[in-house]
Amino acid sequence: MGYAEAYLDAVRANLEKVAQREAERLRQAAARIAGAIAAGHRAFEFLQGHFLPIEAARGHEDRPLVFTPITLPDAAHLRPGDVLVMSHQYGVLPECVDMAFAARRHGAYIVAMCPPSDPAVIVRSHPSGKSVPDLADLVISTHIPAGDVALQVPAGGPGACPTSGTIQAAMHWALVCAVAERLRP
Amino acid sequence: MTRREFGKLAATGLPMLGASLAAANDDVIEGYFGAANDHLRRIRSDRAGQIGRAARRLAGRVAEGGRLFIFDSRGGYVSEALGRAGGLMAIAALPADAAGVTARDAVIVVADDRPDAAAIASAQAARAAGAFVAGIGPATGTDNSLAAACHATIDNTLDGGAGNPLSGVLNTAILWALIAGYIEAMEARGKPPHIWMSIKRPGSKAFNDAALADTAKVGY
Repeated sequence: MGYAEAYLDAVRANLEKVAQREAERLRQAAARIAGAIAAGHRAFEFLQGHFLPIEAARGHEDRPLVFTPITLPDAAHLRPGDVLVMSHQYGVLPECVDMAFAARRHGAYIVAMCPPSDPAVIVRSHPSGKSVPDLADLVISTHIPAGDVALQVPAGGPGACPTSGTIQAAMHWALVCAVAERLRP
Repeated sequence: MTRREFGKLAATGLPMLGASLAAANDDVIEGYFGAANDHLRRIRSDRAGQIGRAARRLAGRVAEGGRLFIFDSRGGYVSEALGRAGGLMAIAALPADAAGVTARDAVIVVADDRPDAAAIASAQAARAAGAFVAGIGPATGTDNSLAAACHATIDNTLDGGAGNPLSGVLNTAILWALIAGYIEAMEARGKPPHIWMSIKRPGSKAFNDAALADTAKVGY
């Protein structure tokens, strides 16, 4: 089997794991978000990383707008009853953790879409030693492979070809669709 | 979820603050993941050979001293490929108008569900400069402009048209499959490319510094 096939097998296995193990938590998140919007609150999305912040940004033709993008300087706009969805590879970078702390202070409900991780393997760079999953009300795992590399190639290297971009995008759109479905006229 | 089904949801005109809750259709999440998986299965069964061939042609250029570039008009796939843990150190964003690209180089152009003018123009400019151009995006259906502009195009199995929330998922998977094939082809030539280690892993700085220095020497 070639590397391309091996990668596609890995990303499919990752997606199947998310579908099997996280669908119920995605439904919980969708219900919470739809309920918040219906009650006059807002749903925000904090995205850091590579593909997803641009994929999920406003401007994609014909796609529903469920989330308002938010960055750390705007965290004071969060209110009790709002929902904040945070998607990141591991949720360990300082800005991610600062955002989660700010959301808790302002009373927002935090949905983390990233995997729990071992601090011995994934370095915690926030002074608190926390990660976003530690601070979230609901954690939905992306089930990405260890180190976010699908292939242990080339030999002697750190591994290659992450799945998180594909999986985060799939989870984002599944959640958007589920919220949109709940809010349809 | 098909594009038409998604279009129905999109037509609700969200956000609708104060909207009333509809009865939940819990099949939506399974439907979306199921559709994504069906397309990925199809790409695996029907497109893997094509991906491998394109990857070998990319590697052929780089192994002979060329450079590898990537373009997409929104910048999402460029962001996904550059400076990415598990990604190639020697890949760069395509300069505007493919300036400086030569016949030794290779270019990946990724287009969403409706190829835009910038993607087509970039592919054409790189091809005119003599570079090998591999496209990722819709290559069948009503719009074949991407396929016409590239030497090889990996069809994302969507039928084109706007609004499909699967295009990003499928294009990203194809992009990494193409890079996986490129790594394999470079290894076969005895030139394994250098890969970024995640900055979240212990020892990453020393590893990446050494790998970057070596990349600067060998070019891949």
